[in-house]
Amino acid sequence: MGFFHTVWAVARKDLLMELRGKEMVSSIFIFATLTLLILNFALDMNRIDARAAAAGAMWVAFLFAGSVTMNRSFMSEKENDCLAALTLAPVDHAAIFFGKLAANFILMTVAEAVIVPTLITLFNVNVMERPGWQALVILLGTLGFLTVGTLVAAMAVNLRARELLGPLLMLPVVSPVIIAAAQASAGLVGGAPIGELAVWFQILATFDVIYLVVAWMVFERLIED
Amino acid sequence: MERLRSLAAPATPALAALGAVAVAAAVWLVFSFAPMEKVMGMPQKIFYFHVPLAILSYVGFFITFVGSAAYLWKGSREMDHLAVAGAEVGLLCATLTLITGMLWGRPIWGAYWTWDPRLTTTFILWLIYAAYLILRSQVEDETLRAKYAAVMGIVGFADVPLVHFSVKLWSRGIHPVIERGPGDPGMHPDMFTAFKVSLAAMAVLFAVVFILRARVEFLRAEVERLKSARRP
Amino acid sequence: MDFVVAAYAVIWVIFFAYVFVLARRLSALEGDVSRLKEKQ
Repeated sequence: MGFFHTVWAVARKDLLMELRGKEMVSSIFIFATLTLLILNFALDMNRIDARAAAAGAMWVAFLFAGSVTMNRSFMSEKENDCLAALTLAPVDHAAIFFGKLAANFILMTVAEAVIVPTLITLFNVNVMERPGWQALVILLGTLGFLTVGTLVAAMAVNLRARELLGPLLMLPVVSPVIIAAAQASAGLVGGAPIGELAVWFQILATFDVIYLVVAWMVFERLIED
Repeated sequence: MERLRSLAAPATPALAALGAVAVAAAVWLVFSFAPMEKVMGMPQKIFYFHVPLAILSYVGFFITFVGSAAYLWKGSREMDHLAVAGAEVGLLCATLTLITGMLWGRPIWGAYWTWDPRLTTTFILWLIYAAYLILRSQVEDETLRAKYAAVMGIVGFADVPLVHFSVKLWSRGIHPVIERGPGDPGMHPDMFTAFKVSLAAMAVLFAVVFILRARVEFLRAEVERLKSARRP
Repeated sequence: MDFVVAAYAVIWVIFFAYVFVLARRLSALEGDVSRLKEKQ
């Protein structure tokens, strides 16, 4: 089986599973909406600039939704020792990682497609005023935190303290990505020229490349016994 | 490795003595030899230890990175021991960097903390390596612990270059940067002398503490080995 | 001046506290090793 074929096979399997039980997408939605609700009051929107807060709120909602997604992605494999079976398959182990990542990415994209309109409605700020650039920020930022998150989830699943260690390991490592993404998004909403925001795009792209390469190199060592 | 260990053990007291003398010399140079900085005055004296500590925290994290990579690809447990020692001593230096920085920031900036890029990213690094050590404490299985910690040691190090270049990339910062050129240290030559002695002194103490911490890890592994050998 | 004194004090208090903890762990471990070796 070719590399991309394997990636797709793993991703398709995960996505089909999520489609069968629909609780995933609905719980992500509820979770993200709750985040927006709490932030709306925590930030006291009557006093502060909603435009400035919206981009930050968007990334907090994405991050929370993302951590739910990633925790799930390896838990389902654990239940019947499926991960062991997967690693026994005569395929490139990196392809398993990229398959998981692809499934998480597609799920997150769906979740984001729901979260963004909700955010626009609830905060009354059009965060997608410059849709192309904002979509690029969302893509780069999501890819960055999902890469680290998927790698961490593959480890955390084997640990007793997984609920504690998953976020504890992921959040500090991905915080530069989230900061860069939130700054770029806020700049786009606030009408900053692209030239001023270039540095954030550079940081995002650099981190995505570094994390993808590191995850690709390390995953093989991680799952072998 | 065995040879390195047998060399390090007897050298440690001598290194510690050297470190103590060097620190005393550095403190003397900082307060009696280096000129008073014209704008900042006294609080600038914190710089002579703040910056070496920051540099040494990078050194510690770099050791963790190298040890982690060596463990993952060569599988030698000893490299994992060096990785823990690097992370813990690096975290100690990072903690002291943050605290001394805050004590400098209060008189100079009027606040202990600002969300300046360099402060923010150093704080992120601190969190990453604190999480690394918590991960180690939470995994009972020796092999799993070494493997998972190695992954975090490599992934976490990706943030170190960002921290270092954050001041240039993210231009709104207020943290001072020393503009250096070829043959120009960017400060008064006497200040630079005091700085170099202080850096050397702290580097020696770093080596001492690192050796001690690594020794703890080697002994711990030996205790585990002896215990498991006794079990039938 | 107070901040300078505080900064230097903090460095050495934390440093020596860490060295103290390490020394205690080392001596405990050395004790364990020799005890275990004797039993063998």
